[in-house]
Amino acid sequence: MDILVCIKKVPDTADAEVILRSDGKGIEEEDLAFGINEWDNYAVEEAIRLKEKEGGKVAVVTIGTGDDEDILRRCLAMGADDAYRIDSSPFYMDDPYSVAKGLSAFAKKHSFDLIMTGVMAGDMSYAMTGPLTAGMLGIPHTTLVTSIDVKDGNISVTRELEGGLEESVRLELPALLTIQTGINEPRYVSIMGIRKVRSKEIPVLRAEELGLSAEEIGEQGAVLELESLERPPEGKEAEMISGSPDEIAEKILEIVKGVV
Amino acid sequence: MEQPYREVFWNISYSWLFYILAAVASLVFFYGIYKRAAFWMSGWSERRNGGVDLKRLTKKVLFTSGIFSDDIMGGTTHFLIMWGFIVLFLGTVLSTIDHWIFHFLEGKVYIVYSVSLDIAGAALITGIILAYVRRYIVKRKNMVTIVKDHVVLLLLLFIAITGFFMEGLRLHANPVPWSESRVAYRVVDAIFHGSRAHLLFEHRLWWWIHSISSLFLVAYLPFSKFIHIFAAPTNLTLDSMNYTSFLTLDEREKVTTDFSKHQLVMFDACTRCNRCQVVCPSSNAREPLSPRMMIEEVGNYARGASGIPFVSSKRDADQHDKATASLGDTIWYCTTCNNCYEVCPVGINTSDIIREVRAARIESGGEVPVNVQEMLESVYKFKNPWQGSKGKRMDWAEGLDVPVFSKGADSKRCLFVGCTPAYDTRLQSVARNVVSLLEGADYDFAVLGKEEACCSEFVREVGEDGLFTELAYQNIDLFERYGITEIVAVCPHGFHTLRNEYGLMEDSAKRLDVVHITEVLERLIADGRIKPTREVPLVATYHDPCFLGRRNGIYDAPRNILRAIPGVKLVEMPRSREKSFCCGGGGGRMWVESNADEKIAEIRVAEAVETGAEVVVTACPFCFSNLDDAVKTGGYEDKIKVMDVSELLAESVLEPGSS
Amino acid sequence: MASVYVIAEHRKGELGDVTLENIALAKELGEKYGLAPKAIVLASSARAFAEELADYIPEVLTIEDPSLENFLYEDYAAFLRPAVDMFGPGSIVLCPHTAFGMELMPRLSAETSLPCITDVTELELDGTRLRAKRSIYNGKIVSSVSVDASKGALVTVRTGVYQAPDKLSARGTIEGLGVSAEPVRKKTEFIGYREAPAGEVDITQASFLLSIGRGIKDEENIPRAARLAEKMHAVLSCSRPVVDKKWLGKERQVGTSGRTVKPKVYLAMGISGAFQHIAGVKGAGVFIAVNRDPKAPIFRVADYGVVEDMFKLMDALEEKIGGER
Repeated sequence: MDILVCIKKVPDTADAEVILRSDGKGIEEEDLAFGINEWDNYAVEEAIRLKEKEGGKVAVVTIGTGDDEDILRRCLAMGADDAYRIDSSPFYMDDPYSVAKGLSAFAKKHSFDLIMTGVMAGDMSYAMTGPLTAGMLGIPHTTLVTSIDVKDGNISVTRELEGGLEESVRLELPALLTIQTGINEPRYVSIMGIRKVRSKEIPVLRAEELGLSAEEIGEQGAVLELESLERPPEGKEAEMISGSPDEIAEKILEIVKGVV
Repeated sequence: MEQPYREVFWNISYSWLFYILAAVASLVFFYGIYKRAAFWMSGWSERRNGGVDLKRLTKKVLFTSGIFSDDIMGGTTHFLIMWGFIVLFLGTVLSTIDHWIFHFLEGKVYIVYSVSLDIAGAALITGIILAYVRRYIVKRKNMVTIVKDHVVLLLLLFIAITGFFMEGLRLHANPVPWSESRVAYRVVDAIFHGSRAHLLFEHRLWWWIHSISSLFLVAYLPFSKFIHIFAAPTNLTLDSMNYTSFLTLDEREKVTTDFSKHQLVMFDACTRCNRCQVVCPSSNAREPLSPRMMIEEVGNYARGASGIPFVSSKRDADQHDKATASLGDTIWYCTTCNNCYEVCPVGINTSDIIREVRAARIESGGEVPVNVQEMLESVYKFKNPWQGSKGKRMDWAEGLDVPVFSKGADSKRCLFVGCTPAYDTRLQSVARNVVSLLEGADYDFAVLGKEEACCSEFVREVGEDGLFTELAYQNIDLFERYGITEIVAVCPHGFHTLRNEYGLMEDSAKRLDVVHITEVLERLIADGRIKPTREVPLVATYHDPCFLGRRNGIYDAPRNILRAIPGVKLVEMPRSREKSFCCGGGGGRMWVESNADEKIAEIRVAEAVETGAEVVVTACPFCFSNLDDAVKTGGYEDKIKVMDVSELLAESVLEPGSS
Repeated sequence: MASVYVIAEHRKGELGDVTLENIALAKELGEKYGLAPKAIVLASSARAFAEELADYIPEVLTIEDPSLENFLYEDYAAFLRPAVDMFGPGSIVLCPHTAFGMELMPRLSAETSLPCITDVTELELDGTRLRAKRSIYNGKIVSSVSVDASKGALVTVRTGVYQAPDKLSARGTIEGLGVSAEPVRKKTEFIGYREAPAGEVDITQASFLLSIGRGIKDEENIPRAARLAEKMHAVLSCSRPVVDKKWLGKERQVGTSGRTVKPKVYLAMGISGAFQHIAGVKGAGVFIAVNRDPKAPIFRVADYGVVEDMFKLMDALEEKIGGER
């Protein structure tokens, strides 16, 4: 089974302070650590596990700049067979439609049985790229996948619903799945492992090679336009309790006692 | 008067038979040695040509100091056996020279020779008796005896006793005025009776028995525990040689064998004396790691391909490659405290072997604890093991005026803060105290601030050499960029790796002068630049961090700081200095949990509480975290608390609340 | 006249609360921009759901077909593709940003010419431009994005942002939307539901939850938190990362993909406050948040906030409780 995993490099903002750039169009990137989008990492791991079980090949692709090749190389070290980079310069990257156009054009040029990507990306969290790509390709998809089982040209997956509920869905191949975190435990790739794949060529594709014009994927062709960024509104603020840990603990216990 | 001498082959016919047997034994011996040497040489070469420490070598090899330490009886036992064996062996060599090359064993020389051999024989027998006393009468704890050990001991005993029989019978059958060996003479008196002819027969019989057993010993030697006669001194020699550099990643990539030559010798040098396990913190906490069994298990794997006959090289069915050379997860329990290495009489560096196997696990994608993987991911991504963002690396310094290199600080001296004091909110006060103390003493320094990368000491210890190398170069580049020549490290782990390991990767890092903060504080106190004046009435005990003490020999600086603080009464734990018992946080153990009932750190805290100290002081962030946790989990909160040296000093020096 | 349509979410015969939230938004937009708010129920038997919704919205449209019993985007899209053509230019279609809406709306967007914006918290119509606010970078930044809604637009709305509206004084009308499914060769098949394995605890029933998140850092700190919870007579719960790492079971997860909880006290430690988590805390009596980061989004929803290292506070709490007994 040949699998394509679409990945993206994003800043890790879980524990970091995110500072707006003065032009309000972006964020200060200097103090942020960048890496493969968490959801995509689970997708890559899942693809490699499927390959190890079912045979076939795993390819990874990103739309990015040369700086983004490190995540591709990391995927190669994890066990992906091929990595491709679609040069992002003509793309309007804030628009998931542009990205999906690029990915679907790429997928059309190859033949994959299965395409995977993360449910969403940790930066913009649209959760659109997967279903949009599937729609453009006309292949079935499902989102929020928490397990995959391959059987005779079909795959059965479970997808995560709300309230601790899951549903099982069967899809015909080729199909596209968006992968939820926690589906597996992604493996660690060592630097030596990455070095071993350092000479592996990563083909760089230009949009025109994929039959995409700058008008389609550039800002003028964007469906979704990112207008501005701002700090979240102050809104309702919690009443802050300050003091030494001891004093705070006492106060908390007092509050708790009053209620429970 | 006839000169005293001994006629070789006296009373013996068929001496040709002896020569044939001797030739066979020698062939077997040399074949075995050849196989061993081939096994050792099959490893890759470490670059250790930085000179040999002859003094240490002499002490360890000739005087077997490692065996004596903490075990006088064991030391004596081995000393007697070893030197008895050597003298008797030399005696045989001299006798051969005397017989074949030139005759010199006569007269006084012969008497000295003969008496020496008798003493050696007696020493050997005494040693072996002591060996059994140790095993079965004194019943020394933690001793491991397997059947093959009896073969070795009893064979030696048998050869020694039959030697005396032979000698006694010769003296009886052919009395000479220089019947100097009264003991042998009398022993024979008690056992053998009969005519001269009968005694001559007995002599011939025992001569052959003695000779054949001796030749058997020679032939058996390379295939038995006796190989340590060669492997141990070889290992100690290699061990006393300094590294000149580590293999580069390129070179490591090209290495096709599993272990280095030195490591292969280590496997053969082990005599299963079990001293390592006795001191191992993991073993003490009843975790499944035993350094001795680790060496045996991995050694069996390594020897499995060597084709040395009769030698234990039984591979388990699951030992497919180096990554699985040690089965299960035991390798992850090692704290790399190096106490096993400290006590090993033959210089086996178990943590070095463990590092190799861990590295193979990581490279092969084998079983690596999830927390270790995440720690490595964090170091890769965030350049610290605590998933802290770069923007928060200087949070500890909030409100302090700390000179930062990237902001133009003009200094040649870098205070290397380390990730744990920078990010761990419990330990940020350590960094703050240190800075306040240094600034109060007008001590010139600057920090790398947000640019500082993880020292990666534990990254190396868990076997991720590639990541270690990458991060080390990032730091080395910073040192070069800012013209830094001197480094003061707050954390002993950074101190150790910057001082001892960075220089093995890059020549420019060799020139760095790396000191630990306690050394600086000690000096500043001695120079009167830091004045601990406020009384801090506390009974304190000092816990030696492994990477400061055992690894780097810094025992006194922190103690001197404590002594300089008025009111502090320093008491010592039974296991201190070289014998310090690890907190359980080294070697990546901060990220490995065990199911043991009692944590390593809890054992240590209990020991500290025993001293009656109110505070256990340490100088390492990992030790601090582990001990502090153990105080809570072990229920010692009413009895003891944990402090960093700098914290205690700050209490005596700084205005309260100033940092 | 252009309308704003709310697609009802239902599962296992029950209507999701989120539908009412979207009705509130639809009515708000309707008032502001003169759009007619309408609900659409796609179901095998839509009557009961429609009756329920008619209490809140003036017009309910139904599409009934046996294939619509369980949600599959293929079946829904087969009806919705022709339906959106009927909706007319400038119409807005709302779905909740849930497993349902996330699966359906972007796909529908790709299969029609209507643009889609997901996970929005606010909507505004500026001529033909539909502008939305969205929370990005872990809730640390808010972005404004817009699409051309002249032909209509599809939107998924973040759950928990809008409150269910009051009932109408006059019940709304219910009528069938005369639309038939486009013929499709089905490539997906619904197999069944599966309850996540239930553990021994039921956090939905707890009156006091001590909830831990990413800040717990290490599996070895879990017992510490568990011990504190026990001492405080609280039930231990957690946010998603803790479950993803398998440090605690799924049954302890608070949030949209875990359980929705209604404790009297919710004490969140080391949880930054991703919306998926916050959305799972419905009507906590008192919400106390402890986080090292003063800018953590959780402080925007908590009643009390503490900027402190959670471990320091855990120690202090434990000490205090220990002393009381």
